[in-house]
Amino acid sequence: MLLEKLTNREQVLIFIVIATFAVGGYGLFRFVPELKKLAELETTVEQNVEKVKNPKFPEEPDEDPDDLKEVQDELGAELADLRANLENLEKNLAPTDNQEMLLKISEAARAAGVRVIESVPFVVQKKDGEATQAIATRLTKRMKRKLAKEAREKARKAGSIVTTASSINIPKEGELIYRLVNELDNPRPFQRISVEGGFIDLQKFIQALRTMPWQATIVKLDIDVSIQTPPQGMPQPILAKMIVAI
Amino acid sequence: MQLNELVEKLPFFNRVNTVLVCEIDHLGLRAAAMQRHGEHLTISHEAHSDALDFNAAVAEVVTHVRQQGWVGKHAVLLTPAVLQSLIDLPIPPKNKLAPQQIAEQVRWELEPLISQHHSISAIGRMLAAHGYMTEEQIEDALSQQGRDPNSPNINISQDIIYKRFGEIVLELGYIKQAQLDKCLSRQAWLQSPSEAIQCGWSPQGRAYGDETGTEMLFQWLASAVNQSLLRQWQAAFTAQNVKLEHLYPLSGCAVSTLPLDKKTKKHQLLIEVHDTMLTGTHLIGDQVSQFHTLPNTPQDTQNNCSEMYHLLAHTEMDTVWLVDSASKNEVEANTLLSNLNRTLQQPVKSPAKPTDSITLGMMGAARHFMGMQGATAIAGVAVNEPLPPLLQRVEIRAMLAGMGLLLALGAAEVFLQVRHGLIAYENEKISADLKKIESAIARVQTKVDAVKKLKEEINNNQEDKKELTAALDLLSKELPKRNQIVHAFLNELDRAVSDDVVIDRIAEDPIFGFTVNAWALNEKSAQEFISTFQLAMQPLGFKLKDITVATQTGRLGLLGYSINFNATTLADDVWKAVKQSPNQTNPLQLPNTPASSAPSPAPSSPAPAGKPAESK
Repeated sequence: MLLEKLTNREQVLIFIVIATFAVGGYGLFRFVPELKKLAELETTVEQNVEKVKNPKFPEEPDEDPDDLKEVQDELGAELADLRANLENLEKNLAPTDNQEMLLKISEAARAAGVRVIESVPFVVQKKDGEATQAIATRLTKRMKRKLAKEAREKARKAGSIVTTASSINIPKEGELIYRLVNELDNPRPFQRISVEGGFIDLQKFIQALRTMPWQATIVKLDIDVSIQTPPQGMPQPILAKMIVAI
Repeated sequence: MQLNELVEKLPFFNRVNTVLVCEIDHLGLRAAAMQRHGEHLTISHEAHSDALDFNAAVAEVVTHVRQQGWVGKHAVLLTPAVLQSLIDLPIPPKNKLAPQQIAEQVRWELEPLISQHHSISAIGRMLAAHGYMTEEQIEDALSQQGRDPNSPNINISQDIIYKRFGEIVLELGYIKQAQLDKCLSRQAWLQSPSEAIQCGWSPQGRAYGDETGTEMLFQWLASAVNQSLLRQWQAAFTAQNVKLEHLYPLSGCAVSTLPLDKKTKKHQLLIEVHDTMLTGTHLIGDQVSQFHTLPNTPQDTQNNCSEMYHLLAHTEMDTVWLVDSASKNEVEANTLLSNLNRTLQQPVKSPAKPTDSITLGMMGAARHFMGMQGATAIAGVAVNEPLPPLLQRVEIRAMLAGMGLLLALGAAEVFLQVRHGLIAYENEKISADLKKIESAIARVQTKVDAVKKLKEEINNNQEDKKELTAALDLLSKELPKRNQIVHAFLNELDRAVSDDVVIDRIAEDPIFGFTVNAWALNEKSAQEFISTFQLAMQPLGFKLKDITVATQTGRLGLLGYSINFNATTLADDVWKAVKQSPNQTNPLQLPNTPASSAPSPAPSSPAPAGKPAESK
């Protein structure tokens, strides 16, 4: 038999080869991976032991959830009341989807005897970057062009510059305009109005604004003496520029 | 004894308890299936074959005993071809030598003897044993073959000296061709030209040599057989699906059937008689002390027995045994026994034969094969050569190496499993504790989360409430107040302006309030205007700041006084801070601004208006 003819040296070499393969295979595919798993498991155990020895309990709050719930419910009720009140107040504000308020202002100016030199939307940028919208106009294009032409002509005569609604103003925090834009759910539109006339007429106009069917507030007022020379015996006319929150 | 019986019943110690014992001589092949029962043997089946070809003879007896119900698979054979002798070796009975080394020593001693032993199965002796020739005829034929071509008795050719014995006796007409063929056929199973032999041995323990023990020799009972004959017999039995285990000498095996006692050290002499040979065995206790073989013929049996007795009986024998396998009948056997009793002047005993056809040698061979009492007095030749020591066998080494490897891997695996078990146990224990702690933490965390969520909701609602309140205040209070302030500012301005005062400009800043630029004809009018307006605006929360009255030429070239001041609702410190930090125009963002003094800039800022120049 071939096996019986093997010398001791050959037998040892064969054993070494087989043992190398067997031990190597076992070590490579079984022992080392299993040892690695055991090390991971051991690490997990150590971590768990550490967690058990030093448990990190979250600080238990002093408040009782039931009490907080009651507070929450009370607050909810208060909010509901406040919203209801706000909705009632907003009913006093002019609708933003038509021109009716502007017509009322125009009529008040005529009744007070002041001449409207300029009436353009005053667009304000909210803190989130969004711009407020002007009151939507329902005028035809022809009427719009006519009004724009008149405004430019009046401005030219008055020596003022007509600004367009496209210029966006950024109010400072704390200003009334800022608050009207940023603190209300429905930001109010603004209208920049320039009128010319006597002081008494201006007072009448401002008084008329207070008695409008909807709330109109002058949030900025500048008064200058008009550059036009009045006829002899007549008082010097004044030019009032105001921003009205509608 | 009971322990032995018990051990025999165990699976791993189950020795062979049945064996087919075969014996050949010139008469043919005899077989007996023997069953062991403790230290006793029973003969269960018997068979006999006279076939010339021993292949056919083996097939015949095996078939016959199987038909009778024998189911064993092992066989032993007693044959005259096996030589048994007592030799001296420098090897003690208890030694650490490998079987191969002992075999080599035994072979060295027996090789010269085996060729002499072949003379027992010479064709002339076989013809004489069969009764085909007489001793005189054999001597005559031998003398003819003995290179005596000038003998006057017969007319022989010149080349007769080159002829074989059988051819000579045929030519002389002593035998027939059929008789010669029969003997030659049998002789082919008893002799072989091959010189390779296979040996068996049994140490006897008796030692010779000097007292120092350096040249000690020990008696070994050894046997040998030609290897080619052994393979021939092995093939014959293998063909019948029976494994031939041992070959024994035809004469000399009956000794193990005698009552051998190791302790008493009795001297016994056994003379075993066969047709062609005669052996004598001198036993001391259960050890063979002397062993001798003589060729035999039926005519010289008594003389040979006497010769054997005198050859071996140097001391007084306690018992002399005669095992007669050569006598044709009981009368002849009794005659030989009584003659020996008379001749030797010592009682000679004859052990009883089990049956007429079964010899005591067959019984002895069976006892040796099954390791029974007295087996050490026989040396059989194992068919398979003795194996090297266990540790030198490749398969054993491979098995041990494999077991070592498996043990190493098993140890590694046990290490892994034990470590895994320990860690898993620890993990399980810790996990249980951890689970309790985590559940407790989860309960607290749930409460914390619930409280946190409620707090966030409350905060959000409070923020909403704050915003809604601010919006409500803005719409319901501050905007109407603003309108009121503007209206009041213009009214108060109208009342405060006298005929000597002209308002040039009113500018409103959302933070700083109103800046008023006016002109008066004289300083008194200017101061009166400032004083009156200041008093009028105080109820509205306005204060006049940075008041300046300076000489200035008016529009119509009149010399008068310019009036400049700010009407603001800012507190004094805030006003100063604003003035010192012109870039920081929002007083709400000024550092160190008292909260109480922080104004509500736009809504509370008055809207003064100047009485225009048209008033005067």
